[in-house]
Amino acid sequence: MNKLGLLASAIMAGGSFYYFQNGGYFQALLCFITSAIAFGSSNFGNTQKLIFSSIVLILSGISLLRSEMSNDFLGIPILAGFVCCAGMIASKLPNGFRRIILVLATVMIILPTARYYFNSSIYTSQEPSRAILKNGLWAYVDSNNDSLSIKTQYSYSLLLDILGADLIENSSMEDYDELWIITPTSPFDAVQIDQILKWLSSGKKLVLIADHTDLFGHTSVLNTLTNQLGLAINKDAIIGMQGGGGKYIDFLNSHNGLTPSSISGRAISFMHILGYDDGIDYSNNSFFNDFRITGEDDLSLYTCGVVGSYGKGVFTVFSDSTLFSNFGISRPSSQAILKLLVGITLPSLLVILINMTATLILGYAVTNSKKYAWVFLIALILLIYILLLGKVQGHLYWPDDTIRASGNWNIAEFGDGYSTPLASAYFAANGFPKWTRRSSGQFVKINGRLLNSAKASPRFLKNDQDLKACLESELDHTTELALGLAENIILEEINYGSFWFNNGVGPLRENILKRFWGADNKLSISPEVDKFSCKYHLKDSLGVFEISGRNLTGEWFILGNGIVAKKIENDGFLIRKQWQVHLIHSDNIILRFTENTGM
Amino acid sequence: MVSLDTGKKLQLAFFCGLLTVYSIWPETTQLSSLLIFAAIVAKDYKSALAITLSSIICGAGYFGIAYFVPALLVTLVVAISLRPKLSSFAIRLTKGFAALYILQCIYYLVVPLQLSVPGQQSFSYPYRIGEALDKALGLALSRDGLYLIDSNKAKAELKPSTIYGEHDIESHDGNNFTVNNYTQPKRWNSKQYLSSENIRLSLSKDGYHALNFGSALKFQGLNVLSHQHWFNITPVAVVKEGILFFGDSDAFVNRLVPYQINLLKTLQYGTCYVKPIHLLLYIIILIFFVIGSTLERPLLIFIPILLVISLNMMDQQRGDIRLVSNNRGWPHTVGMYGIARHSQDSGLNYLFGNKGTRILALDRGMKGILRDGENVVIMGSSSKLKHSKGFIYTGETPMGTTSGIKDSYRIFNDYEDLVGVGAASLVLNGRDITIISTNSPTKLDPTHISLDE
Repeated sequence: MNKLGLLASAIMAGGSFYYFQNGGYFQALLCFITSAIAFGSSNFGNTQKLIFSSIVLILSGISLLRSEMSNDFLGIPILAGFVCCAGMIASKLPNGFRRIILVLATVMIILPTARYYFNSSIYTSQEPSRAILKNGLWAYVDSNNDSLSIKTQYSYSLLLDILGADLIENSSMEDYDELWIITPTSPFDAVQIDQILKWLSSGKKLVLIADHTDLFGHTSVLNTLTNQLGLAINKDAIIGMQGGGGKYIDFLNSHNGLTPSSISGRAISFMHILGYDDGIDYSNNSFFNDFRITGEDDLSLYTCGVVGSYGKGVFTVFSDSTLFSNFGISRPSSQAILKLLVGITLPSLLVILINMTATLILGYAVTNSKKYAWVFLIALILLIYILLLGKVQGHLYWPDDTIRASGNWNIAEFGDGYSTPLASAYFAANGFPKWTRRSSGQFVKINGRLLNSAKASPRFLKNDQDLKACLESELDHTTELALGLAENIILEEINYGSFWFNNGVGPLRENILKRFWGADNKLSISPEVDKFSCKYHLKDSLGVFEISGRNLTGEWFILGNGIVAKKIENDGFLIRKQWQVHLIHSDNIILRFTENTGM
Repeated sequence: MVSLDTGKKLQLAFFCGLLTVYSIWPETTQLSSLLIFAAIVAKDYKSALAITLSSIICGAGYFGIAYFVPALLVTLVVAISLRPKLSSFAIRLTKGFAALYILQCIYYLVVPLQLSVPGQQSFSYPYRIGEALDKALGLALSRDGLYLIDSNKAKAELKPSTIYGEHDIESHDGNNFTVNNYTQPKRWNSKQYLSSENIRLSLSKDGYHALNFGSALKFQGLNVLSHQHWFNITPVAVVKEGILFFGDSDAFVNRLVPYQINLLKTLQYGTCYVKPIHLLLYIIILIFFVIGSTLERPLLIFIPILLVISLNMMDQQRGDIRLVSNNRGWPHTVGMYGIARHSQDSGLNYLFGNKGTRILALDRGMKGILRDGENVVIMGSSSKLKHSKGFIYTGETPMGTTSGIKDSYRIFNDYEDLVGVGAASLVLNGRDITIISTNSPTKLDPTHISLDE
């Protein structure tokens, strides 16, 4: 029994499963054949025991995998079973035939690398002219007006600036080296697709950015283009191992991500996410499913970033757009991924390297021929050369008012009190944090100053007498009790969107964000207390109550025990969950005045 | 014909057959008896011994023996079997253990547990025990069981036959059946069980034991079913003094019975398959253990495999909804698998089945053939329904809420004519058929799935 051959067989079988999971059926078949040949060639004699021990191995695998993973991983031991059977048959094949299959497999594995090697777009200028295609209503690039509105924060204006790109219509791409298409929602017609493909094949670079759950139909739109490139962006949402956002894994690093869709097809993957496919529910807001890890969610290593070549051109697809929005681009992981996307389009080093190594071992194991081993070694050197090329980074145009950031990325992205103020840096600090170094220490440093998350939390209010006087009373009571509302208050339908910012986060929170960045406090509350008569709906009746309120600034009021509310003309108060400094137990509500106040 | 000693081709065919059975019906991998048989066919007695003893560990758990005792036994016996001088002794030991194991399987099959239904319940319909349970088992169970909440009645010397615990109920003074609430550490379909072969088989067939939160039974008895997480074993079903205790009632309430039919059948009848064939399988394996090596007609070794195939081919469950889906992991899903739970929540006592069904549920991307008696077809996106004169297709593009159907899709006929969006009434197979196309069938108004009795 040749143990090296068995190892090669196992690696190739794993590769086959990986490709099958990700829709690369041809590669899966190829890996399967080579795995079977390696298995068959490595085992002579003891056939019955070999098969029986394979069955035991398969069952042990099932038991082990079942205990930790999803049922779909049953595919691995079943695949192993078929490899065993096919290997038995393959062992009877003549040596010449086996070698032909081996050479063919090797060529197929090396081919993508060779295509990149000879691809002209690798040698494009270090400062390519870039453009973002204007397509649809979702991804827009309205410029930053220093406000915390959704319109500003869910814009790609910062990305546009950092790329140094122009916003263009479809017909004017000829003058550019690199074209970005972000979550398009207007369908491409055949002429447009043809135009883009012709442009790409002339040696240009295309970057496609998708997102989860076919939101606003963007996946359907993108797939009309990606199908021509041999790819499909799946209509799903991948959540991390603990639920919520996952970690994007590339060859060397992992980055904190959100919920991408998965990508499958004939391309080389450079970014993966280990997580669960949460599926899609079109009857929910944002088309997300239940966001829980349940038995119906498949666990797998999904692909969320791929590169491929088309003609002389190179394309990249990445399936998370939120990272590049104005509120996401300040995250260190977003900037690291952006550097990858604009750099030399990196082939899937991991996959190719494993394939190459496996083929090398396989060739030697099956043929026992140094001649073949040399051929594989040359292929490996070719790959390493590409790897070195991949180190070249593309040029980015960072804003003039960039502030240097370093420290612990996890704290910056998920630390309590950090993520929102950092995301709002442009608004609150008049600067853009550019991340330079990653540290395992428990700190975040910007422009040499350690940021204190305590200043971004309600605890900071203790030093503010005006706010404190208002907020400290009755804080033990729930919001509903303070408002005199019953639990069964009927919630108003309010159309809201972003999870980090809403249509203005309220003056209290804005004030806190500014303090995080060292700005002065200029907020104070009116000492005068007004009484407002409001009404609310119960299940079967209409209730009326009075609530006290003090003016904060403009149309903003502090109600009861510290609820931030905005007066809607003279009709009532709008209370959004996201505006509150303290946790609010209810969702967004509107309190109507019993009569027009005329104020 | 080649003899068994030199019949390598025959052995190869046997293993291929076994692999095929496992691939088509993955739950049959729980049939340890079949694997022991396979090992003896391969004359690999060491593997046979290891498998037999590991199977006995589950059986030992049944009798409440501490986990390490059988584990120690396994280690000891395997160590003995590795001594060349003791090989013939090890073979006899293997056959003896294997025969004992099969006898144990036969015992479980012949002497099943008997369920009963709580006579008095304060819970509303979907959380009640009884209606769906009776329907799944095809009989009216006796009403002399208890909910654990009614333990005060038990103290009053009322002798119940089955007691169902409830995880919502706190332990309190006077509770004779001390329970301890615990949270499941894993997803339902990833749990490991210690139980008899037949119960493990039925749980694999159901996919899981439906229990998010449970109550661990603290007293000693016959451990009918235990949950295992690494070395932590939590008994959730125990027999003591002739009373069958369940730590939690989740798997028995109306809303989850459609998802536990195989477990319930096994508890009541000893097997979720056709009982005579299942019994025959064990008896034949037992006979082969005794006389297998001296058989003159080696082709007979295929009989156990044929019996397993028969078990699965004859496996029929009378029900209301025929589900065609690859996604069977989470009954609370909004997807097609949740349709039975939704019907129970709506007060409609519908079960999944493959015989006498009236609703066909085709999950997204699936294909199905319309059968007699099926008058409502719920189709997911990109699914395909075959009827006597052609096909009905559904589209892939979500159409929002249309015709009162949330998350609806378009419906097309053979000629790619649009015949409806969300819902359509068509004459197929000579009768009126209602087609509903949605990927969120659990958000359907109950009137859409309500059938005349």
